[in-house]
Amino acid sequence: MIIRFIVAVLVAIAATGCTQVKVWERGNLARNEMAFTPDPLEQKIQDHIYHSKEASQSVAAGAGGGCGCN
Amino acid sequence: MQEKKSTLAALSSAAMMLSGLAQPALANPPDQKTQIAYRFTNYSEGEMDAKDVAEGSLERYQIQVHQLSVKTPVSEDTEISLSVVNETMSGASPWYVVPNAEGEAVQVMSGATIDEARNELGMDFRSYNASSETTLSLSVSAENDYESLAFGYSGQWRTLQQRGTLSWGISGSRDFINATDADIYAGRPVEEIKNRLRGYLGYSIVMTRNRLFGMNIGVTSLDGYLSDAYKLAWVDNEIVRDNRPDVQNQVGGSLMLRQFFPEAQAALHTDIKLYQNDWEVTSESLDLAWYQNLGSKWQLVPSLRYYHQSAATFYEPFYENRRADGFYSSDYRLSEFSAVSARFKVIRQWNTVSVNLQYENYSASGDHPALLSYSAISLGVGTSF
Repeated sequence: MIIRFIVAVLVAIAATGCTQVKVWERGNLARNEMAFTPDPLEQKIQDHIYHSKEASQSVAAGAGGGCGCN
Repeated sequence: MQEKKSTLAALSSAAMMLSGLAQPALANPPDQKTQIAYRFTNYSEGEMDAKDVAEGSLERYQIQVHQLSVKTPVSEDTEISLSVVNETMSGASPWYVVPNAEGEAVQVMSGATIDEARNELGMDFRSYNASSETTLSLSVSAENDYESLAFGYSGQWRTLQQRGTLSWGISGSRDFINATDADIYAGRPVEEIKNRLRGYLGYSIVMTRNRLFGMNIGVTSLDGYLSDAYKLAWVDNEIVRDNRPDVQNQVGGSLMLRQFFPEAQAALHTDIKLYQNDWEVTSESLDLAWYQNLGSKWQLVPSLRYYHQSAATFYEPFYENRRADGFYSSDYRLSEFSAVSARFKVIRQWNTVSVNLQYENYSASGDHPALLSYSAISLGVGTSF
């Protein structure tokens, strides 16, 4: 329930529209901590662990295989 | 284009002729730098509670993981990445569940300590131009009872004067399963195959000078041997092999918000993922992370993840009656449970070198006796030159 509420909030934020952001105004957006994946190695091992221990899979993941999942 | 007559250049040129796959949110041109990153993770599962175990070891998995990745430019608009993963595992794992005298579910663990290793090698070829990029990915993974070959191909198109990015990708894998000790334990699978095919679409947009929003949706189809090669199930006083359908279709999506707070010099990450498959497992996860800068050299990152999933339609901890379809699995990973993961990460930057240390504590709660808790400590080092 709470997740549905947060989804609604996020969609509402997205629906508020965007402002025109010039290239020279994007300094903060270029910061590493603003990346969707700031640390690819951390993300990879974390996804691997969760995928091994939970029923879900990240459906946007690219190539990658292996099990190591007893 | 730099003149570089090498095998890598030839391979990358071939990759450029394809239209490819990239990691999400790579929107920067190759920076002509070589980047090297290494990460060590020590993963330790908590002991089973003695009251939940009917037989076998209380100790569970201990895993050490080494990851190494190297990314280097091949030309002005092409780069290649190589990654290596080495995992060593030891410990016991849940085997099957039986009812005790009170009719409660108790776990039988594998008796002998399992020692295994897994190695994975991956390669990405990325080509970039002013309005789009593509990446071709290949990987191979091998362990004593499981081998996997995988490919990925993805792309991004930048739109709206570079404010929006449309992402797409397809990937697939073929896995080969040859269970150990198949000559001792009748029915353990040998020469089984599992196929995976996946596609996704995503879109991210610059909303303000301090806000990014992204979303994606993907579908996956699995077929072949989807059961667990080692697990068993208790069915009306008889022990049978874990047996699941040989097809599974999945759909999932995610929403990602990145908000920078200039006054606090901090960024908030909000990630939500929703998932469903046709075994009737649905799941939701919420992941929040706060990236707090302390000056230009230190960063603290506390984060929290909540996860919940429903049970697979044919799952039971144990079966008092036979099922008409013959599907049986008492795997805790197919049960209904919730899990909370708390993480804390410290990052220190020295000129071109970055070092980070992370601790994670994960705890699942539900009705299955073998639900997991683990802690993981990671040390990462990265540099570029």
